[in-house]
Amino acid sequence: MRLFLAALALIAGTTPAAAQWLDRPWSGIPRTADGKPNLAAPAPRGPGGHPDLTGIWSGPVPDIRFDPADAQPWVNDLIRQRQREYHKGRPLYNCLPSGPEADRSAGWKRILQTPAAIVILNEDLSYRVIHMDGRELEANPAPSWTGYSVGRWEGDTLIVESTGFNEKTWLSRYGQSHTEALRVTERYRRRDLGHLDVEVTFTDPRAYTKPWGFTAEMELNADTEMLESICERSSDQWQGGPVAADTAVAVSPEVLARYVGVYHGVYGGTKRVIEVTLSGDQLIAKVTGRAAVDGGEMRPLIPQSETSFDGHGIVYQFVVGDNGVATALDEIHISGPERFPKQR
Amino acid sequence: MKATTVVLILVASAVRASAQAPATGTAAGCPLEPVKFHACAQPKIKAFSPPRTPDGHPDLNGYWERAFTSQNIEEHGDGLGVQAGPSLVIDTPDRRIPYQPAALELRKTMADRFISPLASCFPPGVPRHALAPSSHQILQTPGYVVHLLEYSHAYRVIPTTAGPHAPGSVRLWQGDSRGRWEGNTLVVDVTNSNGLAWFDNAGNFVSDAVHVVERFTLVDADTIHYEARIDDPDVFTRPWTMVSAFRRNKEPGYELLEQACYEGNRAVEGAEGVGLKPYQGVTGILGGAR
Repeated sequence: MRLFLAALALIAGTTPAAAQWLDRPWSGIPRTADGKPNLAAPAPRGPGGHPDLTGIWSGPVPDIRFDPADAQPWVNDLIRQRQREYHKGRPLYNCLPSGPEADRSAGWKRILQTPAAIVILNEDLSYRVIHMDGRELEANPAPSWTGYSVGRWEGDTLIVESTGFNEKTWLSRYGQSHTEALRVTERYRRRDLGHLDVEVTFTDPRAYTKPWGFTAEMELNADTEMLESICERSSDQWQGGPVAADTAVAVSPEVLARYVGVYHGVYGGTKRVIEVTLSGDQLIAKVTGRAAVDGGEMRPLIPQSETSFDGHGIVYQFVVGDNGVATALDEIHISGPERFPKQR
Repeated sequence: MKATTVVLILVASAVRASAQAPATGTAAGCPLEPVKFHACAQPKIKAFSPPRTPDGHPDLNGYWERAFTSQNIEEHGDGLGVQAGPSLVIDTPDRRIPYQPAALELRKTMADRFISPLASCFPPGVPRHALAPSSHQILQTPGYVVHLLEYSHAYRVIPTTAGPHAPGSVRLWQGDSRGRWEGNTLVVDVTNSNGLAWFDNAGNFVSDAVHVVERFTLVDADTIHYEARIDDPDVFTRPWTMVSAFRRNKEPGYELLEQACYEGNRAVEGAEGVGLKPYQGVTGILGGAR
């Protein structure tokens, strides 16, 4: 739990306060009658006639199209191991470059387009260079965190191919690994002034039997500037500590059996169902509902006391009646506990 | 011994083995000694008609190498991992930084008390960005000049369109830059610093009240004259000016590599091991300044 909190604290610490927005009107962009940026106006074009992607962009965390069935067993093993470790090895939490990680397509970016290169500047002061001078990807690139990118225009779509990634970056915050054979294909399309869609495909036959990816939908942040958000790791920020498995206690199967059941509630505005089953002496929570993804659907519950369990970094606390049978299940988030009454 | 350990840590962490060592010699036919370079460059700047970008401004695009390091911006001799170098200060009588008395006392022990910000992989701030280890790249687009570093994959963005600075509540490692073209010179006004960046590894420092005005000017096609005027009434007795230079890296096919500074960086542990503390700025140390 301590670690999980630490991880969340790190996220909070590396994200700028939303209040730090600057009011900086841009000149030369189309505006509606009421003076607001006309986000539906046609996309601007650069000197070469291609769309100009220059701007300050941000978008939500994308939904990844990932099916564990398409991953090699070692990838799924690593995902489970990283879940058990509360994702503490995620590059972002260690002030390391996130490379191709899908979740990092969210957040603020500034794109600047020059004839020779397009640069993508991130708010953590890291950057990417996409070479636009027609060069080819190297056959045997030196592995790096950010990879090596070349771009070309296909009509109004910018196609960026990247290779040369080291094996340390993740493909999403859930810990999908990849090998140095990873190739990332991105298709950037500025639909109009205010919208940039990026279709991203990960291809890595050594790790996945099929390519997979996500679509990032970014919006223009007009009339403002992007501020820096520096990852300031210091020894007092990272709490460290044992993982749940190391602090597990023994709880008898008779007690565990009293927790089996189906619990209903709402989390993050959507219905969530937690079905608790007992397999041998292992309690398992199957979490369904849209928010199920954070931590995964199937969570082995590792006892930390007779009523308190760790499930992939989230604490599950059973509320029991006089007879010891559970009447509700509290899912304890950083925002506080959410109660899920037992339905059956 | 403490200082020695720290120097070794810094050398190990902040400078890539392949990073180009700042060269000695000349730039644009001028000696690389800041006062002499500054004087020698002025008539050349006046006579030079720089190449221009399509929107008509001097073209600073390209890869650049710093002429001076940021080991110590005051004159210093050879040391362990430190190459002797001249003072970059050009306009004080003794070419020292004009510290107020209390600030001078603090400066004497700074590097023996606190962890150097670059050892912690923090952004270099301004003006140190211009002296930062590794190769530099400048990219210009209409409305912006971007200055990329290999060091810690850091960058700064200089808007060259008119606009106000960020409100005073916003405090940034790299400060808030506003640029404008004055003739052939890119003039950059920098405020909103968080005061946590040093000038160099020697612990020369500012407060968050610092106001920097930088001037980037092409002396010839392959040399940039760099000047920074530093004003910080909480630390210095008067505004002062430092001068450095960039020389173009003309190696064919050259490009910036990546330095994931945090990767395997043990410098902070090492520094803590010899009793150094994280540097949190001079507020509270430099008593009674404001």
